[in-house]
Amino acid sequence: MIRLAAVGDLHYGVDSEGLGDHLDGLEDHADLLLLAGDLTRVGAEEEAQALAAELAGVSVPCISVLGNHDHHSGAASGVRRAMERAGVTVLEGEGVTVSVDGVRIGVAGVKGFGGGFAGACGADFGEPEMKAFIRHSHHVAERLHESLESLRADIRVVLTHYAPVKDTLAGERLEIFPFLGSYLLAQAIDSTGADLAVHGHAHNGSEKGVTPGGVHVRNVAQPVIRSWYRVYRAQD
Amino acid sequence: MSDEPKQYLVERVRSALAKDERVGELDFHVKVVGVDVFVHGTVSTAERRQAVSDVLRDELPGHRTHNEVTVLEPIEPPEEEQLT
Repeated sequence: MIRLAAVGDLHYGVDSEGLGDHLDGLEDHADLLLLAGDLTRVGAEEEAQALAAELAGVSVPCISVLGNHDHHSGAASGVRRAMERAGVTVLEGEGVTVSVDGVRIGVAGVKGFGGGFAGACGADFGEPEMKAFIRHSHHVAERLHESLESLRADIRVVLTHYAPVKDTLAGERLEIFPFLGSYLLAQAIDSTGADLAVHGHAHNGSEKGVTPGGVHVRNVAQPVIRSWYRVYRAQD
Repeated sequence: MSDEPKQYLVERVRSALAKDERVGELDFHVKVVGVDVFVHGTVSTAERRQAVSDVLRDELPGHRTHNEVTVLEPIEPPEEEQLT
């Protein structure tokens, strides 16, 4: 059994505090910590440094993706560097494998993007701006597919910021679904299989869902789970 | 009070809250009832909730503004979930 702790949308800033205290002793509760993007409020480097200071003492491997807020100030590379200096592995279309008591846990991570869900999504058609939007959705989903394909692990976990399914958007306004996620992410997950997919981004959504292929999906945005993190136990 | 249509006012407020770096949040619900403007949502800190009030005051002179935003106070994680 492997215990996966996860939380997203911390939106950390220089005015935030307390996370480090609640992660103290995390090894008693979890084998791995997943951060599902929107680490910072507006993607400022000092915000990332404030979060990094809280994460520096975390005693289990910590793996993250960035979210849209982490890109807002045009300093995403600085956010990433601050996280990496704190020992956090930041994934963007890559996979990583961590061994816990001989069990290989593979995590494929990508920020993801919007685009919508089957039957009501944007198309690669029309103006260049619309094509660029949808092509980015396809690109990040392809990166996820490739990273999942290359994972060799006993437990396979997908980490995104944007949602792969509509289930976990229940509670959000239907009009904004195309800005909250893309079915292309679920298609990538189902094409290779996974034990769990966690995401954030949808603050007014719901925690639990499933892909069309039967993969567990959990929305761990902190305003949804309303706790410092959630722990999911997966069978190897 | 201006004669700005409600839906334009709603988006003006949402945009101002998103762009103000003291707030920097997108997930607010704004409701306009006559001269009264209500803002609901959640932020992570008391400072950001105060900044919502400051933005509303600056953006909406002539309106009565109601900051109904709450500060998220995370609880200790509940029992772990067994994935089956």
